[in-house]
Amino acid sequence: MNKKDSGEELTKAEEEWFHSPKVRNEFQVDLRNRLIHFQKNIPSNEISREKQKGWNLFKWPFMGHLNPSKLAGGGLSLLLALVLLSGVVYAVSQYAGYIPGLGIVNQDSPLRILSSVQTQTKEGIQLKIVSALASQKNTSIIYSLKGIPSNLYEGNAPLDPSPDKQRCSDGSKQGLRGGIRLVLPDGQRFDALGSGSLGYGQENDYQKVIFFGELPENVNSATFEMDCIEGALPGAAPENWSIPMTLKENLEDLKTFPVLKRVETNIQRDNQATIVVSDLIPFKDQYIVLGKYIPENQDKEIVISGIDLNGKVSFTDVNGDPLQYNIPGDLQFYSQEDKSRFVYIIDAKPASFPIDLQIAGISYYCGGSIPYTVQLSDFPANNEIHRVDKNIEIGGCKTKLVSIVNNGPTLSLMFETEGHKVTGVNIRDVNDPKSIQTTISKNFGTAVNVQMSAANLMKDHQMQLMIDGIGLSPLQPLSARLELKDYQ
Amino acid sequence: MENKPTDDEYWIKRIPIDPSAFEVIYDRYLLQVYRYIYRKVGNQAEAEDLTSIVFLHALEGILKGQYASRNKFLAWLFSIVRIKTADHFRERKRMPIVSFDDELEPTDGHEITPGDLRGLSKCYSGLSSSEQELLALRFSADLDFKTIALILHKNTAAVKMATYRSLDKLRKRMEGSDE
Repeated sequence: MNKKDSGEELTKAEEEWFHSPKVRNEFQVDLRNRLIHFQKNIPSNEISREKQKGWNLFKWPFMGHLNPSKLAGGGLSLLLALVLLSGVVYAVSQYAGYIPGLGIVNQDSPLRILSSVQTQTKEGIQLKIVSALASQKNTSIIYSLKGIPSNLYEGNAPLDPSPDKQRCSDGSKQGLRGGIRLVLPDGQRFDALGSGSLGYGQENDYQKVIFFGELPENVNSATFEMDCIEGALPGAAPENWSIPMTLKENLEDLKTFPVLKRVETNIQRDNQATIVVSDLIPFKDQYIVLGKYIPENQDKEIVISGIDLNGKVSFTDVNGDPLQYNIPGDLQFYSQEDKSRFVYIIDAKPASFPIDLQIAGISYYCGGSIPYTVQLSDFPANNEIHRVDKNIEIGGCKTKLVSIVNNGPTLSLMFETEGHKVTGVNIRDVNDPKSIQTTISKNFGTAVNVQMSAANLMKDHQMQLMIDGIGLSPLQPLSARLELKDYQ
Repeated sequence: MENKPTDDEYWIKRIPIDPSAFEVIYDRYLLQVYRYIYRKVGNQAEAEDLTSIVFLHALEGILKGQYASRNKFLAWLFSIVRIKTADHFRERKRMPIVSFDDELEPTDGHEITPGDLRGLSKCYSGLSSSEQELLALRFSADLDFKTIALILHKNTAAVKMATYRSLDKLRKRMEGSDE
């Protein structure tokens, strides 16, 4: 922050007042997600011409440097052709394989693919089911949209504070789940579990991959339904899209890129949090890196609600030079399924190894319900510190309630967690539903103070608190060294 | 007295090609934006709404090439903050309310009493809107004088002097309220 002149040094009270309040953790995370969503869905024609050149630099594994709309037209056969033409030939006798655009599949199980490309056109807008793949694990479908008029996104204020409530989000008019789904002939419905962007075309065209759960083995037909077009205001574009599609057994030798597994699984970590890259996928002049964050007390089944990588990621090659990286849209589902996972695609060749990966800013939230009763008799006088020193395990994470201060109208509770930055604490007065307090540590130290009203303590001489969760972050960035010999 | 040089321009250039780049900007300035807005609107719900609007507008502006003020990103961002805050008050047709009850903030010492904070709120509310503005930009948003001058289209030295005077006036009012 900005240094002040001696003439404007603030008193402690002034500084507290000008610097209050903290930003709620939930708000911070929610707004970040909304911004990401907003950026993903802003029409490409609205990106300034100068900046639009940037889109061509995207190195999605699926897109390479090709025009996305051409890929959309070509379907799976073109995908396969691209794989073959890439000049990289791999054995297909792997257990797991990467199919660009569709994700990772287990090749030991039967696979079904789209029988034929299907389209539906409404008011000049064309929805096309480009390809589909049903495996025993999940079902992925690539769709494209073209012919979207440039004025589709005009209308209401584009910067409404709650754009997701007004604009179509995840295919839903209400921004709820289920806006995109597969409906089987018997009426059974499969809502989309996740999605990934596969890039934008020259106009407003774009392509996405949508992931669903595993379809029943004996079902080879389904209807792809989508309530509305992403980002469109209600009524601004054709709605209620519906395309029947059929699947067929994959009788072709479906070529894939092999997923190399880490051979060495014995990780020396002395019960320290770490990151592990479990899989490598060589892909043209790039490598796809799939990994997982492992907290220190892995055996305690920590509930990780999210990992915030904050963009503080670096890959460096054998010479210590930075490697460019990106997040592959067709593998986002890998990290959506399990929040402790990460996936990147890096510009690297075999000669780049060993590659060092460093991730800072990992944070996770441990949720639970830990009750604690505060007695008024603990505080014979105002402003007296009641030393608690109670170890608390919440959602598998350890923290300590160090002390409580009762200064009359407020209670100040200090939490401390050894070896971690405390990014926030959620706590509430059980008898006051409005009392939920979330505090984000200002300096991200190992301790944090949470303040809440002491009204019920003064009235009832005791207060039932419920600690609902704690946000933690390892003190140091976590790193991993990737050696090619460790993967096969 | 200048803010530390930042690599804002690097990240802003990356935003159209790297969706995670705006997160760096977001993390860097969220607190400053939020504090300033909170100081203006006085409650968490409105502060969060306005902060959301500001960052969405900033992101859209960058993507549409509307940010052209090279090396003056913070001033550009706070221009948006001020415009959106003014729009907000116009829409609501009311003046900012500073609500102490929402401000039960943690302290690491225990010498600050709620009375101190309540007194500050009261005295701050008694300042003129331009004095409040200067103090909020300087101390809640932690902006340097040069950036504030850019935002207000004023001379840096004049801004500095006016800020000192405003702080002095706030303190005198505090002393007066103690008596």
